[in-house]
Amino acid sequence: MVPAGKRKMGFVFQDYNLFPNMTIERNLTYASEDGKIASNILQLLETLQLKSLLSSYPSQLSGGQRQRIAIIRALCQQPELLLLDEPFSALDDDSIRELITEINYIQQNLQMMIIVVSHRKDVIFEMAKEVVHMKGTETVQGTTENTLSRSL
Amino acid sequence: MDYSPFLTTFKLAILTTSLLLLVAIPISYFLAFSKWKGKIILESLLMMPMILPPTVLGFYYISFLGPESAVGSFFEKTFGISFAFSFEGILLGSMIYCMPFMINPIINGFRSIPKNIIESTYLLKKSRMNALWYVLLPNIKRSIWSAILLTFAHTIGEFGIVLMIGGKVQGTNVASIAIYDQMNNLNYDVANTYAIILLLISFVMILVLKILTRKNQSELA
Repeated sequence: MVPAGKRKMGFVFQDYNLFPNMTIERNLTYASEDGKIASNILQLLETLQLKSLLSSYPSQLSGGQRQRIAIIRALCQQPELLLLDEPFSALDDDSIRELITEINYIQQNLQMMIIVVSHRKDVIFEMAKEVVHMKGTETVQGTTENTLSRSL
Repeated sequence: MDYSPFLTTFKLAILTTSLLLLVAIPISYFLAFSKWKGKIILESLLMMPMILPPTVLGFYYISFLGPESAVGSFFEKTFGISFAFSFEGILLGSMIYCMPFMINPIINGFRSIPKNIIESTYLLKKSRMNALWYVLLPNIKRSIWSAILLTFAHTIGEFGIVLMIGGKVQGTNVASIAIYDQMNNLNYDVANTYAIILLLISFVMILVLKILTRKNQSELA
């Protein structure tokens, strides 16, 4: 098995794992391999209007903002695949809407495969092209419409 | 008035604190994160000076490292270093004696860091050393300051261990022992001045420590 650190994957979990002792900018440069924020990430920060947060500390951000920065920090590692584990579970509905739009934007902009784990069907409907529906030990895989409409 | 005992006290406190800090960080890291089952024995041994009478520690110290002992006489003959009745002796003795006061806050600090923060450093492909320096230590800054202050204050207050190991020779005569001597010689004025100085220093240090630990509770919230 390839050790976690060697996989070309970015991870984001449900609780934001930003380092509390670092500013947002330092969180991002620390994650970047050459210690600099890549130009495509800077572009993304600009588009998502997150640039003004760079000098803040994680504790000064809202839950939604922290989750977005956590996703961007994972992107700083230039992964080929992004895994989001329950990224919405700590957020309110408005923040969820916003985050979905942004994840969709990132996906299209960076042409990256994103795997989202969630127990919210409505969110999956809005985001996914393909779904693996799991219930107990049973799984069904297919396009979003086909899979979620079939009951397990 | 002779203020040299205070110089010795501060020299001892500064050296004990800084050398112990260097030793304590790797030890605390190991005790906080290692999955080795025997670590509880090691931790208990290192915590012993907290409850052990200084005379017990002093007795064993002299038995193992004193001039009559094999180790002590070897070091004296080969390197000319004496571990008893010398400044180096009270420095080593007070490092052993202050160990729990230095490692306890640091271990608690390490253990208070949320697991997901530590795991994040692995996911970002950082080495343990890199994570320790850039993430772990900065996040427990207040615990480290508590440890430093507690050790410093404790070294200033040492009496028994310094008396047993140092034996009141030139260079080991610290302020706390000087007060005892001045009282025995009925020099109450000098003893009084020494005592007031130590009292004030101790009060200020405990006050700063209290302020630090009060803020500490909201450190990682």
